[in-house]
Amino acid sequence: MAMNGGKPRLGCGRLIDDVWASIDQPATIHERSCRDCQSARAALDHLEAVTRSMRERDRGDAAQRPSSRVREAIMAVARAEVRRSRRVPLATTPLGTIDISEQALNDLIRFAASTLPGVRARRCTVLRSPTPQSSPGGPSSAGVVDGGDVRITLTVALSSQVRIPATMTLLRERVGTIVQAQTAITMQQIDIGVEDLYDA
Amino acid sequence: MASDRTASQPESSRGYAPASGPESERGAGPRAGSVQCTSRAAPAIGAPGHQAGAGPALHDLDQATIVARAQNGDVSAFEWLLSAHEGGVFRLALRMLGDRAEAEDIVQETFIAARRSLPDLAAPQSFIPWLYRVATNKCFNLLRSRRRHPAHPDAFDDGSVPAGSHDAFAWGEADPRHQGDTCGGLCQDPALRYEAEAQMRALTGLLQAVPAGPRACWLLRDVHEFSYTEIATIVHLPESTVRGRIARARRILAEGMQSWR
Repeated sequence: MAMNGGKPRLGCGRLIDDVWASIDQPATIHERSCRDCQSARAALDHLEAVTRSMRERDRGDAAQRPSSRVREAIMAVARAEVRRSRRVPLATTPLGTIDISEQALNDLIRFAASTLPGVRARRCTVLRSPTPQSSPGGPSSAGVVDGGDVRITLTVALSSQVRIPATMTLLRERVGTIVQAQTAITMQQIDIGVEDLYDA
Repeated sequence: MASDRTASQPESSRGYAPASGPESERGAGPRAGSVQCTSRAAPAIGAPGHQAGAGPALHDLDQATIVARAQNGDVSAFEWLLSAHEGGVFRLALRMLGDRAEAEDIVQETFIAARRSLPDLAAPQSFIPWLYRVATNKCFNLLRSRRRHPAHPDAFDDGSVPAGSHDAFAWGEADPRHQGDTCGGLCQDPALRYEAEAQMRALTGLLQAVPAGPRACWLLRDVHEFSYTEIATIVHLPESTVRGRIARARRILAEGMQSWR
């Protein structure tokens, strides 16, 4: 065997890559008479058989997965980071302000959208509205959404079986109604992007 | 037998149909905004799932939707992706590094980094190659740090040839009694099953003798079944270089396995 241009070749000059590419096909006239090719085909065929066995075994083998401790550590970090999202004030009481995290509002909007048959909610973004009450040097409003002026952008995938215009109307109504019922927030604007169609 | 076919899913479907073209509609409702329709989604996928708490269960959704939700901060969607792909990432790291604890560290670092970078992923359908790229880079970084410590030498690039493998080597004749009898965990015969397990252990051991670059490319192709194009993206190399590395790894492994034939 020799190396040529970084690609290993057999004694007969053929690239191993070429032997591999045709290994599931009957041997050619050359391969039937070439000892290099015959040996290479047998060796590669054997390697493929062992590799295939390993692939199949891996998929059902619990020992080939990380321990549950790893998943718990990853999810602990994920949940901690989610809790740091912006807040949307819902009401003010003598005891203080009641608010909801932007992430919880996103989850509620995706939930509301996905209750419609043929709609798969994807991303929801609460738009940042102008905040005239913020002033230079004053308290930062970066972590708060104006609860009286909530505007969202929602992307969805739709079933190819639904009529898009009618579904858009229903979708806006559904999201607006559920969010209003759950949080008392009246949506001021709902932009919807249909970014996929799926067969169903 | 592998050729350059489109990769199959490591543990869930990776199929994705191309965009079907834009449509748009402006509807009624509370100050209706824009509606844009840009592509056609993949069929639903099957993998370990969790109830999203909204509409259909996550395992009934297409992967692009699940990735998009995870990008949007949906913890359930992220956990679904973790369940679906932690095994694959772990096996890649384990065979790259040969150390279970280090492989678990790679899984942890990969998914934490992936979660933080998810919002920057432009195309949700490229999530899986993107995830493996993060993991592969972390494996390479760890192997490079090992090379700086003499106690853990590890050949990295294509230049080194493992002991017992040299260009003048001629592949021997196969023992016809053993042709094609490797049957992995599916064998009913205990003797054959034992032999199959021994061959898989031998292959796993041999892998550590393959330089890290070809080893990664071979694992991604022949074990994780990515396409050559996807691997080129994952390892950031031209496809021709990837093909060369895979051929080189196959040669080393096939030679090393010949005593089992």
